[in-house]
Amino acid sequence: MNASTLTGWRKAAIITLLLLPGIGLIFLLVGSVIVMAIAQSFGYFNLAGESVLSLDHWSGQLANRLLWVSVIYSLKIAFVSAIVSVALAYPIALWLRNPFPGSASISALLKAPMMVPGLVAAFLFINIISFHGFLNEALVGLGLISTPMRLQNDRYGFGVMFLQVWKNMPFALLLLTGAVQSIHSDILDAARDLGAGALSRFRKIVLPLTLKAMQGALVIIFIGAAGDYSFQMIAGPTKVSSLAQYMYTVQHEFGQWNDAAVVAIVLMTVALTGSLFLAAMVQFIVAGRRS
Amino acid sequence: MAGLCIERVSKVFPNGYRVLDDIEIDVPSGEFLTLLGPSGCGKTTLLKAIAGFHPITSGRMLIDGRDITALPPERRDTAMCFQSYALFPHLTVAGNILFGPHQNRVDKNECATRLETVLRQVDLVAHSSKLPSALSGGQQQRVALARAMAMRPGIILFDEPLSNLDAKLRDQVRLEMRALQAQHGFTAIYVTHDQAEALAMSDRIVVMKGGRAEQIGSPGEIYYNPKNRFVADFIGAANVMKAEIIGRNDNGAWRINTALGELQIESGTEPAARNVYVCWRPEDAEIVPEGTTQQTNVFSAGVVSQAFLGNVTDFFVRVTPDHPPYRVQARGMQKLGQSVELRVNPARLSFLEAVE
Repeated sequence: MNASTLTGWRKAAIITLLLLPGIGLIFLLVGSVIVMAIAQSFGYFNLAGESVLSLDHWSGQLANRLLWVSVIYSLKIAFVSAIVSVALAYPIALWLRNPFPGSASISALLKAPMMVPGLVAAFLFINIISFHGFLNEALVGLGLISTPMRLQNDRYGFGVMFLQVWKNMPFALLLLTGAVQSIHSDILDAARDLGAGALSRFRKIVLPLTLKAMQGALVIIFIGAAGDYSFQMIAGPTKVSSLAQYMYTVQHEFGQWNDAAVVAIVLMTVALTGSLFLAAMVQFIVAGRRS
Repeated sequence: MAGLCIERVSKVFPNGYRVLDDIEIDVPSGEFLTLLGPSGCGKTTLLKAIAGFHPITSGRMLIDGRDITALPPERRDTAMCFQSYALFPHLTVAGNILFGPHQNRVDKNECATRLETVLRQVDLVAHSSKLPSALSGGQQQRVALARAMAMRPGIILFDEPLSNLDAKLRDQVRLEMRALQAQHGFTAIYVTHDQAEALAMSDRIVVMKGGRAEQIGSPGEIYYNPKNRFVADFIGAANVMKAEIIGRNDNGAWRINTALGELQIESGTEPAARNVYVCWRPEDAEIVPEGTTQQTNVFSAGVVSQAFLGNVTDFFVRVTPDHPPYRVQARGMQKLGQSVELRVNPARLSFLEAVE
């Protein structure tokens, strides 16, 4: 080993030691939970029996139709919520790009749902759409319908998707507004000068230049929506469970901690791979437009 | 290339501020016209109005006789080089250059031809696959120019394109741009606040102030025959003084009475009034040997200060202590406080506006 290598090792060691309090804590907190869940899914940390290595929990759950129904349902909710939230946030971010009288108030108002806890939002939503809620009462009162409609806990999860979008669109707006505002006006003017109409400017300039912010918004919203519990419990369909709801049922109703750990691992995998797939898909679509 | 006609164009902001006031300019096809003026004079607003980014309040604009006043930027026969270059950071040099042709659905072979041609013209062939961030300021400026040229527009609009370059590179790119314009003959409207740049590059200059065109003319006309004190002072250095017209002598020169005594002006233009301002450039006075009384326009003045600039020395001289100092450029050095005989070339004195 020569002197320079030793210096390199020493430097690396110092950097590692300096980073350890921060990164080490993150690894400890996040890693320990994940490791414990993985271990539990293979029979360890068994709270209701003997702790032994076993693949029974995995084979049992993977053969369970309810798990796959929950996976598909959670994927659907997460994909739709993330994409619709971002799709709605873009035009608003572009509209608010250049300040105008009242734009700050509108922006603040649009971000207000971020301050409302999810459970509160879900209950308010139920108040509106329930059988004798504000919407039905108003429609009946106006004579537009003769009997109230059954809107609560719809079988497709539209209510949950609506709540997810309502709650997450402001977050997407927050990320995208900054990204859109960072595009110099001259760049958009140049595109216009070179013959690009509004749609072309959006597709060829705005989208690529805000890609990272969009991917960030999609990933974070996707992960949150995939793991949703509260909206699903209040406003979700009664015949289908989200993965989080299913995991709770397995653990709470049946006392199967190890099976619940399997569902937890599946949930984390779905959230991670689904969000990465979404980000990659967007990257592919937008990159494909570059020329 | 195309000709541009700006007819009585005005623009008033909602708060009542008149940023463009009755502008009237006729730009023949192939001309290099510069809009010159201090910050806030309206030159960039006029350029962006021509591009279609700023709607005008009144008047109209025509390109080759076609009224473009109400057309959006993408439908005008113009292309703009922005002060910030406005290159698309996510696209390569080639991607930037072909953005316009692709938008206008130019066929593939034609796109390839245009790309090759403009890359060669701006000497960036080796950089076509690089992103703008990998280029120097001068190269980015040339990409912006190439992108505009690839559109084959009738008119290219330049918004202070050299202002972000260092002095040496600015001189170089200035020459390159002028050569390209001369070679390809596109009509160019160029905005700058740098009078040296305007004088060096333009066929004609529009000097603007407060939204109005103060004077339109060739660099020589603007420099040697400024219309008023603002133009005289903005373009180069000028010595301005009040004068009373006495009359004309036998050879047609105007005789005027000034603080420097009686002077003669050989001017092709008539004075605007009996009492007018006149001006002369520092380099239009020469230090003459003492006792050169037989010549006209000679006066004595004391050297107040001097600065050696290399090729020339800048002198500030006063006729009497209560006179404002005059600036003179000559060779050599003088002793401070020394009295010198100066002669102003009668052909280089020019009439400005009337004294109010």
